[in-house]
Amino acid sequence: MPALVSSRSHTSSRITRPPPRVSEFCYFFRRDESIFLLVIAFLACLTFAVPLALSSVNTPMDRAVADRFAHRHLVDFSVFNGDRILRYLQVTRRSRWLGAAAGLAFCFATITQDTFFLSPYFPVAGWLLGAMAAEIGFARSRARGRRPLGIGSPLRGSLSCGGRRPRSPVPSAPRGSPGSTSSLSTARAQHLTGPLADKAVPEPTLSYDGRHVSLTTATGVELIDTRTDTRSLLPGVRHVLGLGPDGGGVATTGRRALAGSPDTELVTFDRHGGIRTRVPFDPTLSARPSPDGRTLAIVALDEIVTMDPGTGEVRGRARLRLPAHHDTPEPLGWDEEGRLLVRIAPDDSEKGAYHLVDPATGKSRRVRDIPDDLRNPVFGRVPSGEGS
Amino acid sequence: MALRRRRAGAPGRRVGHRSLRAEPPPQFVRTATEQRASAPAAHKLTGPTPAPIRYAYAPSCEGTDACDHWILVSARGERRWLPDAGDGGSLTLSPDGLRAAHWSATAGRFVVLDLKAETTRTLPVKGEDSIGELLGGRPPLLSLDGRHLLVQSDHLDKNDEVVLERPLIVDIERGTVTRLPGGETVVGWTAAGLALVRERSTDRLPGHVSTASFVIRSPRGEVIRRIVLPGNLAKDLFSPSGRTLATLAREIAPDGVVTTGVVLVGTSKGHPARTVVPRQPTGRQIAEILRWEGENALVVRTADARNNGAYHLLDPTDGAMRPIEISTPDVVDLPLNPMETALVLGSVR
Repeated sequence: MPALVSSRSHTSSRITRPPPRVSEFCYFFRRDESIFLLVIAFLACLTFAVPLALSSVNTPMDRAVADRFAHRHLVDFSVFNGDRILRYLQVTRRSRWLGAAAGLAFCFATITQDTFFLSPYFPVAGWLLGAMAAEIGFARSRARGRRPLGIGSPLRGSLSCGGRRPRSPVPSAPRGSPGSTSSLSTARAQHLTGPLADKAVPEPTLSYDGRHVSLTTATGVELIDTRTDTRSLLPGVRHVLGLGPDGGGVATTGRRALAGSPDTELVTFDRHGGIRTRVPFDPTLSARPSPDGRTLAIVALDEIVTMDPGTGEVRGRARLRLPAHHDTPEPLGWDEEGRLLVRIAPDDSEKGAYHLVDPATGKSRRVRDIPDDLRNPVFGRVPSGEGS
Repeated sequence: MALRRRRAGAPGRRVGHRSLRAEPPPQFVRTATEQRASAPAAHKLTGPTPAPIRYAYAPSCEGTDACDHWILVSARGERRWLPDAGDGGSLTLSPDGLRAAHWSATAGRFVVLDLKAETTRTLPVKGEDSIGELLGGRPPLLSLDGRHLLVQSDHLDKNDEVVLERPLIVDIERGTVTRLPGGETVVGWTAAGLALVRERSTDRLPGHVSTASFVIRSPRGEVIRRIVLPGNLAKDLFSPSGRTLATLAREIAPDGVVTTGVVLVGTSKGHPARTVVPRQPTGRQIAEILRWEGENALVVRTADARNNGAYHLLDPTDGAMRPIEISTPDVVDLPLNPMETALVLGSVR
């Protein structure tokens, strides 16, 4: 734009006949004298505006933008709606920029024999039309259950953190879609696999910092560093319990099993797939490693046990102080204070209840802001509990 | 061997615990298109059975005396209904199919029939109302030689939790009763005695948080042998010699539970000795190991995708499975009263 202004002053000094009437927002040029500048301006648009619009698809979304949006619309930005909010923001931003670029480009369609108009009306109108198109498109895609405009649909379970495989809350991947991770802070999908058949979909596990991913299949585990895209194989492992911040983790050589099943092995491994330790392990136990991977929490019907994943030795145990319940509580995640989130089936209710349990004392606190009708929920950062 | 069925709520039948049976439970009725072919008529048992009893079942019919009693089916296919053995009570058969023990409505006690000699003994054990096997009750169990009967009563606590009382072993010949210590769960009979297990917390077994402390007690309650194994093996079944445990290895896969094989564990070292990969019939999976048949075979219940049950004999040496011929077109088979609790196996050879 500054280039255009300077061009105008340069051109106006050469005008010998009365200039045509123009609005105060428009600039005009003699075609024979300014064609070179128009080409420059057109290239400038191509160089800056369109790439800027297109790049917004992959530009990381600032968390502050999402927070501001949530604050303005009086919604809580949480693990349950964060991905949707980010997708909405990204889709609308992309559409606005594309609309503005189209409006700017439309200016060149106004070139007549003597003049052309460079008006802010076109980019502004394009901006607004883009926003409207995004709203309509986003609404239609949600209503039909399709993936949002142009955003890679997350693979079933690709957002898991800790090895659980969501079924209902996260929409299933379309047949033959690739496995991917989605950054919730940027709404950017990173494909980890090629297209997969339904039966070949691996079981993903995400480290707590989101950098490392494991994909478990019937033949073993593939460890992926999403930042460097380096991959390592870990054969013989059937169930990754969790990944630590360094990319290593804790796993077993068999799946969870029913009572009566014989031992599997508890293994710890490094990020290159090297086995560090290997000890026998009861596969019927309901276990979850801490975020740092240094402690394994095991929840039994009436007690919580902490174990060294490297040696299999019990470090401590405490009686669970939970409301009366049946079945073994299900460990789901950790909060920032080192308490384990468990779901129980209370005796007096048909719906599940969530509690944060201190592994050292077994004391628990009810978490009330989690819906009690979730099926196979997956948790990232566990919300803090309220007093029960 | 001793699968008990409870037909709770049916008119004129013994019902379960009062607190759970204040109102008749829902009954699921088969539609006309699902009705199965009628069974051959069963006659009243009036003399010695012509052959060892292969199985017994509680019928699902109305209108005849046979419909209200357990029906015995011999190895040759004859059907006899057992007088005084109401199908609302418990019944168990010895592995050789020559003895039956059941709760007698008239005597109010357990009785044992020698089906070959046609003799009946009334045992000094009253049959208390049971909560039923599906809800955690323990069916009576005849020993391998048929000389002892295990009886374990139950009741509900204030929270409606099932509480099993101390097991009783009744010497059928002498009529003596031995009350075993509490806190132990019955596993099954071995040739030497009754195997029981107690799960204990442990910090000494790496990778485990509990142990299964097995004890084999003689019929008089004396400890014959103790075996400590990892806690995940607490549900295993002892072979008659007590040297081997059989367990079903089942993994929780994303699409359901998958049976990976039958694991045989040597009790001397506690390590899996062998994993048998059964050659299962097409479309069927082993759902449960019922008992050892001698030292070299296992009686298993299989189920198809719709959970329709069948019984097979598994040879652990090569995984071969042979179906056990059972024809029960009129057996009770309802969602709340499935066939496996209405059918008792005897001699399956």
